[in-house]
Amino acid sequence: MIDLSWRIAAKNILRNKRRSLATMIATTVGFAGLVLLSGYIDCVDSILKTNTIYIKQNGHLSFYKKNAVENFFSRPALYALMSEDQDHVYAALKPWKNDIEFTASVITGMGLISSGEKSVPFMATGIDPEADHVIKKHAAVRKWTPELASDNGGADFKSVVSFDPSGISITKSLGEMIGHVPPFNKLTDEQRSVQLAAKNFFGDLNAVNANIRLSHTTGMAFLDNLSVQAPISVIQDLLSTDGITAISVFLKDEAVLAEMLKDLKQSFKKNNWQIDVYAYNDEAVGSFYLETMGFLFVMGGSFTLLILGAVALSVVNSMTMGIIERTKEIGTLRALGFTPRAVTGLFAKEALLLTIVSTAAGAALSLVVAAFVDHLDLRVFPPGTAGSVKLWLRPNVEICGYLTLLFLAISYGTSFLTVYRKTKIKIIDLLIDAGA
Amino acid sequence: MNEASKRSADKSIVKLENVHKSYMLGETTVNALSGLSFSLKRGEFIALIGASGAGKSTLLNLVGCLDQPDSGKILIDDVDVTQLSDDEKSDLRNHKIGFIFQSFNLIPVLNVFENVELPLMIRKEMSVAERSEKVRKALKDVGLESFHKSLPDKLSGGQRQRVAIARAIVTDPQLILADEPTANLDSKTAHMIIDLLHELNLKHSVTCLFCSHDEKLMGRVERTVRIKDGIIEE
Amino acid sequence: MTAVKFFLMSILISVTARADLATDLLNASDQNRGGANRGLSWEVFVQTFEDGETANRSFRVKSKGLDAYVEALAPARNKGEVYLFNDRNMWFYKPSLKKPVSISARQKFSGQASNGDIASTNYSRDYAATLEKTVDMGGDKIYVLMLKAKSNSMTYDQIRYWISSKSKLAIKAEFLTLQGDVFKRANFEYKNKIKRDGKAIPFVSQMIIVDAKRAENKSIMTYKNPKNENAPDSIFLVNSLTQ
Repeated sequence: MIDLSWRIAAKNILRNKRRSLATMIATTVGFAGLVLLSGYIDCVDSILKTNTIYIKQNGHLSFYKKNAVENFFSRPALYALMSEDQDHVYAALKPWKNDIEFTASVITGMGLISSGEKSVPFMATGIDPEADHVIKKHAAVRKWTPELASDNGGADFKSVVSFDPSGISITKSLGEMIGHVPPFNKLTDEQRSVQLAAKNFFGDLNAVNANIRLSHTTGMAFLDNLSVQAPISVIQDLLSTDGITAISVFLKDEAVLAEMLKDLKQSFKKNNWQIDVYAYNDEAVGSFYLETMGFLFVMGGSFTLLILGAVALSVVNSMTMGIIERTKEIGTLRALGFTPRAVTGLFAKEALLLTIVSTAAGAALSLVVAAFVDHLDLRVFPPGTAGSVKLWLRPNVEICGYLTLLFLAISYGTSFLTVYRKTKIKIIDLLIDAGA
Repeated sequence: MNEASKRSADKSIVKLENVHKSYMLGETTVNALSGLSFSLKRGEFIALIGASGAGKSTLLNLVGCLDQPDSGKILIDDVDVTQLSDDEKSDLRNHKIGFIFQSFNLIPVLNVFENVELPLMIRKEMSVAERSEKVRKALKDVGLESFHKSLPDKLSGGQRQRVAIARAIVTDPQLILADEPTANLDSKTAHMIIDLLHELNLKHSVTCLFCSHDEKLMGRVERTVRIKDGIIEE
Repeated sequence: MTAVKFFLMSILISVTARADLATDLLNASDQNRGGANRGLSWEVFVQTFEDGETANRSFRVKSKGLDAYVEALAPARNKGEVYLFNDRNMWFYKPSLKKPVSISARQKFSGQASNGDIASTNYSRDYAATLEKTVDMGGDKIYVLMLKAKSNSMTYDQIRYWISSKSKLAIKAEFLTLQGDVFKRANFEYKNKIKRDGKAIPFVSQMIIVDAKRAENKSIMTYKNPKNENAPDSIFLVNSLTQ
């Protein structure tokens, strides 16, 4: 049997149906809006995170020579991870081998790509063909950024290097800049042939031959005009080095990240190995991810505040009208022995009940909208990313739970504050009130 | 009546000592009670009569802990209620006092059963079954068992006041305070209500203090107390 | 009114005369830095000091008119690499490449010295000169020219250029950003001689380019064996690089 206080709350909600409905609509729409917004932010977070970890090959953890993040491009020879440094990294990783899904070596460089006619600047990432193969087939990549990994009909560097060790991948916009209109698989061998030129580790101008075999997108608008991906050996050849820029480590489960990071830092410090290790969400290596998500969280936070403010006002309005109409009832309850807190509790239960119903309706509404958006197959342009990705609005159960708690807290708090003051009025003054 | 209950009956349940209470009416101070002293014995059935503005309701409100005197003492069951905190007074009202109002003060959205159950709701120590049993008993006492699902607006004035009486007695109070309980009723119903209160007074040994300006009801009470200009004229 | 006209005319004449003088000075100074129409060749040793690291390179330069053919001689790993300057276009080539790589004049691949600095100098072709002021330097009257790039593909946006009135030789230069901040400084020496019309004229022997912010970062370019050499036109054709 439902407790009398909840029955009273339910009956009082139904007492003024129009007002309760208005409050409920405000709360329902606000809740659904926030669930969908959080679904969008969650979706962008997953896309950017996948992009940062897998597509950009930062891994969950990346290892650099000490201070290389700031200095590698200006003095690559000094800040590259040479074979001894790489041995140190793998030695430190040994205790964590069961948590590691795979690792990849990465080398980066800047230079000019020339089609023979003209040259344009590039930023190259030399990647491990084996790792590229794993990444392109990775579940997270297939789920969140299939568009970023589905070019080339499933081909990856592993398959390319098997027949052309100098095969590279460029973005469509870079291709257009050097006079090659995508798709690149239509290019003749002559057109496919390009030269990459760069200042090598000796400080000299160097150039190597390469063949355009694949196309890709970085997912980042500002990088897409510059990006070249190549087997690591091509970039090492171009930069005349055996060194690499970083080692990326991809974990099976992100849960161990913090502990692992701490342990590795200690290990490098203890052994006096000049290695820096960063998590993917460290500002040093993941500033775009951090800044974009920071922006979205601020935006989401602002919307949340606005909507919570609207819900609070709606509850305050509903409660204020309610207590004006029911002042004499408050007096009667007080005369019957209800303490101010007990009376306030009755009103707060009304607000809570209304909020519970509204948030349930809001959750249902958000599911309907999300299914509708999914059906429409809308494309979105996440901030700073190149090209569009499918808009996923997936109401997250955990976020729904937190938002419900937040809404309940807001409605309880506002109703409590609105009513409690009234209950402190002298009982005889409450009892003689003529009502609204 | 055994010795113990006799001793108990002899003892005052309510005692007012030199109680003063004034109100501001615009810029004028109105002395509602001017040094009033008065006591009520356990089990008494008393009518408080007086002209309008004589101080009847003020006295009832002070005894019911709904208001605070300017000075003087109000003892209920030997406890000076003027010294109690708001929560303590709430607890005392809930456990020892039953109220009956002139305009019934029923909660319109609750049915008869729920209205009567209301004061028991805050008794954490009582189970739902115990509560229901008490409500049924109270409704039986006022003859409204069959109306337990009715909403107040479906009932006559007399029936509503009987619901209010049931709500007042459901907590087994030691004192029932009724402020003009018959003012909104026709004389036949008024007499029935007073008779019902008297019956309950005898049945439950509960002290009843009600105020009225209806002199015709005076013949149905054991003791009449007249109040004039804030002073008792017994 | 006539007075005003006369005044304006005199200013115009004065400005035009100063611009003509500046252009003439620039033309003359280019002759001593390899920017001659006739065929020349020389060797240049580039010693680069950058962030505590030292690198030595040497090149053989053949210039003719607006073209230059620069061949890397040392270090050994760079031997066979060629920089070809066709008018304002530059190409990089090495034997392993299928095609030469077109390089912008602004690309800097050799320390403080830009690729454009290694080849012959044709400031009079690439920059518009105006006379900024004259200064006295050891009894010599020095013209200070302000050179502004004629197009945005030039190595530098602006150059402040000191030319001796007596020898018509460039003595020093300041390389400026578009905003007018000095980012490199250069000094020139002319201990080499080259024959022209039967006369021995001075030819640049050293150019020291120093980073304006970090003086320890510098390139010393030493020019040796300058001589008249009429290289065949074919070596200046980009297509000939791959043959």
